[in-house]
Amino acid sequence: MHTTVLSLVILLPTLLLLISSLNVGPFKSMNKIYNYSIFTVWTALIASAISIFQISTEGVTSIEYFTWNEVGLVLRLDSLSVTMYTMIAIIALVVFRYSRNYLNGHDLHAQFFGRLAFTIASVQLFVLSGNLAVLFFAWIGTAVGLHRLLMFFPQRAKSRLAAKKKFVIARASEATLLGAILLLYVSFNTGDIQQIFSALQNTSDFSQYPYLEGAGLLLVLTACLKSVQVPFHAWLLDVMETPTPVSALLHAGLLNAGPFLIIRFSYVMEGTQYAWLILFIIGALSALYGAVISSTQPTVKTSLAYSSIGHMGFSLMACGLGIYSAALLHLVSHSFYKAHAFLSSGSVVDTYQTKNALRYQRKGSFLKIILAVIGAIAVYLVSTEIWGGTESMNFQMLMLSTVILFGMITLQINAIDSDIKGRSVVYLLLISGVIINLFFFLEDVFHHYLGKEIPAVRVVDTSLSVTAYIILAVYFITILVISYLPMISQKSAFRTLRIHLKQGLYFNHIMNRALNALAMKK
Amino acid sequence: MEKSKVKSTLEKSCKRIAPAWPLKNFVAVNPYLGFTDTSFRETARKLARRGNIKMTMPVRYYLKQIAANVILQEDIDKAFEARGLEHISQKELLKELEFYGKQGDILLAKDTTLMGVAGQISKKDWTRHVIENITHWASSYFDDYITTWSTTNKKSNIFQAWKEEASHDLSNEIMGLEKFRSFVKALPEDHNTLIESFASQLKLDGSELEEYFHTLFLKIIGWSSYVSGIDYNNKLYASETEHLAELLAILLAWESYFMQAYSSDQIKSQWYRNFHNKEEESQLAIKKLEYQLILQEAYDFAAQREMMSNLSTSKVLASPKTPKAQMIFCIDVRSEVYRRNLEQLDSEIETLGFAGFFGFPVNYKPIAHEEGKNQCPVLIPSSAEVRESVKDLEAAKNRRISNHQIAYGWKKFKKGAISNFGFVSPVGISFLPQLIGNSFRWSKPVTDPKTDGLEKWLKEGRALDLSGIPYEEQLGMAQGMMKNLEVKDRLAPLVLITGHGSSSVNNPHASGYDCGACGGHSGEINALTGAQILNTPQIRTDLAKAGIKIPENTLFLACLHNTTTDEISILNGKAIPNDRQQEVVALKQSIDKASEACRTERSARFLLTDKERKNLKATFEAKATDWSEIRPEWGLAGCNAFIIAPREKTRGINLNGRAFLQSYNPAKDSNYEVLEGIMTAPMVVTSWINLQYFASTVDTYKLGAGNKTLHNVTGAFGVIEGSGGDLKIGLPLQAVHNGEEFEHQPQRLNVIIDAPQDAINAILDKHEGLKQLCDNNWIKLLHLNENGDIDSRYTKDLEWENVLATSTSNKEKLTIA
Repeated sequence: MHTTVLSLVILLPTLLLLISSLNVGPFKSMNKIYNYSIFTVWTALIASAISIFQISTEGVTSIEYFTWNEVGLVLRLDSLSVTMYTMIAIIALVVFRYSRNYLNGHDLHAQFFGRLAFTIASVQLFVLSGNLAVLFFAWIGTAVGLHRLLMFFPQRAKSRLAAKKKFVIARASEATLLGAILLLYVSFNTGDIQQIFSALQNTSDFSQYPYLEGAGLLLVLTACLKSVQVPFHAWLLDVMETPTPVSALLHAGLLNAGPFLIIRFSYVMEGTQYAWLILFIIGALSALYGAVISSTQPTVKTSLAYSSIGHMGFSLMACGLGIYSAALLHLVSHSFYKAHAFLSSGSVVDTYQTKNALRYQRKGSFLKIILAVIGAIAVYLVSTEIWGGTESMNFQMLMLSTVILFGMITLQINAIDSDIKGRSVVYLLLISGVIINLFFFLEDVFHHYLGKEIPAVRVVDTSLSVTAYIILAVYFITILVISYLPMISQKSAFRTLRIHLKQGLYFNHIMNRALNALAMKK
Repeated sequence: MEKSKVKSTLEKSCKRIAPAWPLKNFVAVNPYLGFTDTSFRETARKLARRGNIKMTMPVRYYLKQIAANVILQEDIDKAFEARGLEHISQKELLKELEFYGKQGDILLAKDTTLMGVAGQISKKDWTRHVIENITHWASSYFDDYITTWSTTNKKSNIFQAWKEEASHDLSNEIMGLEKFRSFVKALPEDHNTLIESFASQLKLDGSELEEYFHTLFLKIIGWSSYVSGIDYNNKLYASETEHLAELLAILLAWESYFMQAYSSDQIKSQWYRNFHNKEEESQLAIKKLEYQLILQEAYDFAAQREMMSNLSTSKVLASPKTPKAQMIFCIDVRSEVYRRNLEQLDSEIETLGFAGFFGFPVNYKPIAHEEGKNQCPVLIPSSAEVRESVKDLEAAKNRRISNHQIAYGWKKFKKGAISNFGFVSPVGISFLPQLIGNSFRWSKPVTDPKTDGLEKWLKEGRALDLSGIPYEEQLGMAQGMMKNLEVKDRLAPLVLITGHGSSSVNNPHASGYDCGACGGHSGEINALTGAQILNTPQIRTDLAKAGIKIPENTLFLACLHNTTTDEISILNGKAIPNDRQQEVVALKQSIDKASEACRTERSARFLLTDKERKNLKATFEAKATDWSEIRPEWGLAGCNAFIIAPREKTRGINLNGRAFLQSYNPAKDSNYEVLEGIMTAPMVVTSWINLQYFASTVDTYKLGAGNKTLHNVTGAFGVIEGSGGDLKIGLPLQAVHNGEEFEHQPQRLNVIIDAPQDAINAILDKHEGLKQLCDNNWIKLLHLNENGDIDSRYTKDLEWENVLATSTSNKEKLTIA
């Protein structure tokens, strides 16, 4: 496609959104800004269709608007950025539509759309950025946009507290990102992402870039700050202080920034010695933390927030392992799932109505649990054969799919070690088989789709394998303990453990104390 | 203080807290229920002092009503008169009101809890911390659905459960409360011991102690009410509990911690000052409240004046002599709109108002459920069990159980730690079509609980199985209903028992829009039960023996009025014999026309775009199926009158969907037994509803549920606002406010009765509780004479005053400069 036309088409949706975010003129009227916002989303969807056509015919495309000393406004169309861009457009469509009725009658209704527009525009720029400069400014933009959405009810003390916590973390992430960018610029003498990648792709000797490790470490830190990894997650727990569609946008569109950043700079990560390992460990721990704490929460949105910490952790863990396709798969899947979960969070009262229906009791028989574990492993091994056998898979992939295997174990334990019979057992067993095959299939799709955007899987060294084994062991023990919970949850040690877990191991309290959250005015 | 005295004070303070119901059956309740023995005015002062709870609108709201000529000079005069105050000049009054209108919220009294005083001393908001702590603990204690790692097998004593958690929880110490865990460990195990020993330390007399306990309850009014609701229900089903007292022990544990943590002398002396120096109360705040109360009174008089002129000026429309059909609606205010439109469109249809469970207090058990739903007012326990049944019951039961087991296993996998990764990676992407489908209303976020787990072929032949009700009981219920039915002696060929229910999606407070008389459920089960019993030939034979004759050609039909879309559907179509199909089809045409007319009338209450106004049917259907809709309908917003009279006296009069209508004919009620039944049950329920809407309007954040856009469902039984704070009871802001202004006008219920004053007095005299409601100004009693005019108003102590003379006096308007 003609470059000028293309450059217009791609930037247009973002510009249109930025215009309405000013809330001037016609954009003070709710009806006008609503129709306009939906229109901008359709332009974005058209832009993604065109981009997909563009990259499938002409490969990766850089669109340069202006640059100065190799920094400036450059957008990059490749399979990664277009995937994210399309996903954001879909989420934006749903969130805009939802906010129309949901905030109907609020006196800041039009402003709400303006603030959404600004945030979405920033995310669009961020995922499309082809130059470090635009990446950095878009990054700030997302934080500013979110801050304004968080302060939608400024009279609420807890809203202000949430914004305050977020403020600290956001500024820290900007500082670390700036550091990473400067190191990259110094190393490669360019802000152009394509040039950096080419340089890295064409070398196996990373020692010529002494700052690469530092850049990698700073990128890891930035991602952990942005994507609520332990211990930087406390602010996320207060973010329900703003209307539900904001939570949906945040969890489905903004938290992703961390894993996306790492996938974007996957070639940089592959050039580091320690950064990826640190990411691997932090991600794995946060995944465990978020998943376990989430299951102890009685409040819907809080439980969803902890769950997001876990899923971001899982995605970053996959990044640390170096399977970026699996990381992106998880990211995209999680976005759609979590957006839906937040927007439909009021429906839990309906599902609760069926709670009275007769369910089943777990038995807690050791033999049956062992049987279920063996059963799940058997299904797993058979499935791997379908996808080329374990020997054809790399270690990293095996490690990650083992985590999926743990999910299959849960399903099989519920089927076998309980008083259900017949059809229910068969269904649960079948599902466990479907899950793993679906995972291999989708991972394969994403892998081929991303192609050269991500580096090949690295050679396994001891640090990786040892860490991986430790993590798997911890996860496996967790799964076993959890499947024993119905039988042991009344034991005093577990009751006590649950009390500490329910409080999220007190990270939020420590941050509250540090920020003097209980201080009274006057 | 002696133990027995503490105990009786404790009981008294517990009675002050009205119950609240969980979201699955969110029944309207009078949040001032504990204060019906106290006057409205006194309660307003007490709640302001103890909990900073508002019981009137801000001054500027009333000023707006004055400017809009809703409140007239004569209303204000009457309000002054009623209070026995001397009038002040119009100019002076407006000047005063302007002044108070500009004042913001003024605290009436200082905080009289130790946690509050500790906060003042340390400049840290410990009260907020305590609320967070209790919410955190209680949410999971009462949760029996959301957490996958649950602590079932709950201890029956909630104080002990809290104590166990608090003696391990580190969060209090992290926030700066030293040695909190060891303090809690040293507390007595028994909540009564704790309450008694701590109360005796405080050296308060009986009424002060009651005030203190009540003040503490108000700090967590949401949780207090919820726990009170648990006690209330246990009592109704004969197992008394005192969980509310246990909850108080938790609050007192906190109080005693703060007492010892802040060298008790310092905190005690300041607390004592706050508690006893009533003179220090803000005079400004008291005066402001007095003005607001007078204005509220005037606003209520305005409503009465409007009602009087409405009832007297309109011409009375006679009921049809031989109606082709009678439709029995719930007394609900939404029925008023429908009935009026229907009668106008088809004068041969007669409509009646009857409490929406129609006298059939059943417990409904869906297929494969362990526990049923109580389909009756919460004032009485349900009696008989009605079961859902289908053609192939056994298969349906097994399939539903199996489907729920699979769903349960799936939930364990989806939400379980670690296994959730196996869920999201491969399955998460399938939420994309769901996201789009829900957004465009092609699908709903969750399946309808009514049919969840039942596949299409299993729903065939869905019916009610009444075999759980012994025949005698069926006959008894039929007799009870017919006795109270105004048209019992002249039944039409078709009698449509019309229950009502609302439909909305993704709405935690959905059941609040359903039928309160059916215990916060849709009335369809009660309508079906009623029609099925009354169509049974044996029942009719036995009724005839008891003197109740149902004509042979009378057919009872069960209907459901969907209050979101205003559609009425016939539920027992199979009961219609072939030769009468024609008759029903013709009737249904009138009904459908009435639905259309209703939608047009109701659409004025919504902020709609021109496009939406063009096709109202689609617009309201969209409201019923849209997951982002926060105002699916207006429920009972606006309710301010309950008319107990034959329909002839109100027929043809536009009551704007603000009046409950109970059909009642004093001529047929020789010893006023029916009236007594109405005044002790429906009248109480309508007052509950009225005061629920009142409270949620005047104090949206303490007695209302706050802003719906921030709601966060906890334990599937309640909501909190945002990330914490107290449990929210009452109605959300969006149920009473349209975004621009309040849709509910907070006015107390005017109960208008067509029966001799002596008969009314006799009933009030017999039921102390009812008399208190009227004497203390919680409801306003008015008398309707034979001409259909309101001629007198109940004042106090069984006294009535004539109002016919005064209503024509000065209609002077107030003008605001």
